[in-house]
Amino acid sequence: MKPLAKQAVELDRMIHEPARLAVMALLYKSEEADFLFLLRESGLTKGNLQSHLARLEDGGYIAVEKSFVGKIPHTVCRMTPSGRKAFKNYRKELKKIAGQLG
Amino acid sequence: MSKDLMDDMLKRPVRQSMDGLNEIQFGIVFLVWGIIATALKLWGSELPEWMSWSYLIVLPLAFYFRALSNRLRARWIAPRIGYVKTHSPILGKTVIALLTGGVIAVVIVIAYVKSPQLRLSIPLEMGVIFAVSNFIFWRWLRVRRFLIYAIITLASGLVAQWIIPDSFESEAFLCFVSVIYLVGGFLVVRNLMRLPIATEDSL
Repeated sequence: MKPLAKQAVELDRMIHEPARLAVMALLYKSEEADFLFLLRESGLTKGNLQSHLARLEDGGYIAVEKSFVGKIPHTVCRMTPSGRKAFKNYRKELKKIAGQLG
Repeated sequence: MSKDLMDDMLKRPVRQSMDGLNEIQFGIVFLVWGIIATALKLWGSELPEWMSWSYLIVLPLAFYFRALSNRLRARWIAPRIGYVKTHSPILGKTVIALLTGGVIAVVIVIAYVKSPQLRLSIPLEMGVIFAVSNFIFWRWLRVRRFLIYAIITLASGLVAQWIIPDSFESEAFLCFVSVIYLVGGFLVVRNLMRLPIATEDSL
């Protein structure tokens, strides 16, 4: 078994950041969700959420689709298969570390 | 982020979908069911025989209201609290759920056929089943109104069992439950409708 510190260091840093972790957790159990839902549930500010979504999209963890409903912009996000796999692994590793900590 | 907080985050998409429209949908279906059952009991002998199949209308009605509530959700609820689509049911899990439900239904039917004693307390048993289901929902999603539904449905079972005349106790229970869900659902929808419409531009 790897030492605890090494396991902690090896956690996926893209997901480990609290705001992104919240977004990933919200998207994990859903097929897709819009910007308003993520904003309300994560408690982040608009700019903050936008920047974290952009980072997750750049990392290939989520797909962001921007469209218009009438004249109103509408952003829908969904987790990519690789993002889903990464989040699953992250949870597994985190549980392992939490288990060792007692 | 603590484990509890993460678990809470993971439940939020499902919790968001409990927006009152589901309860209204159930309420209408139970109300129609209760009305049909009461009408058949009251005027059954005077009605044509095919009317005894009128219970079947509940099935297409349930599907219709599901589609309708999805449309209303997109129009009324999503612009206020956001849109989230929870996962479609996984085929394997759906089959297991259907099989389990089927086995439970068969066991209940056999138990009722074999035991006249069980048939004497149908409203109370239905009250317990509804209360347990609502209690499980409350424990899972921590949405407080499901605990209230659990208490009231159990109380409705007791009232229907001991206060309503024997011949109408099951029908009365269905009507009680439908009113509980309809009132609960309308209150939740009304509260959500009070929220301002939010767009990405206005945030």
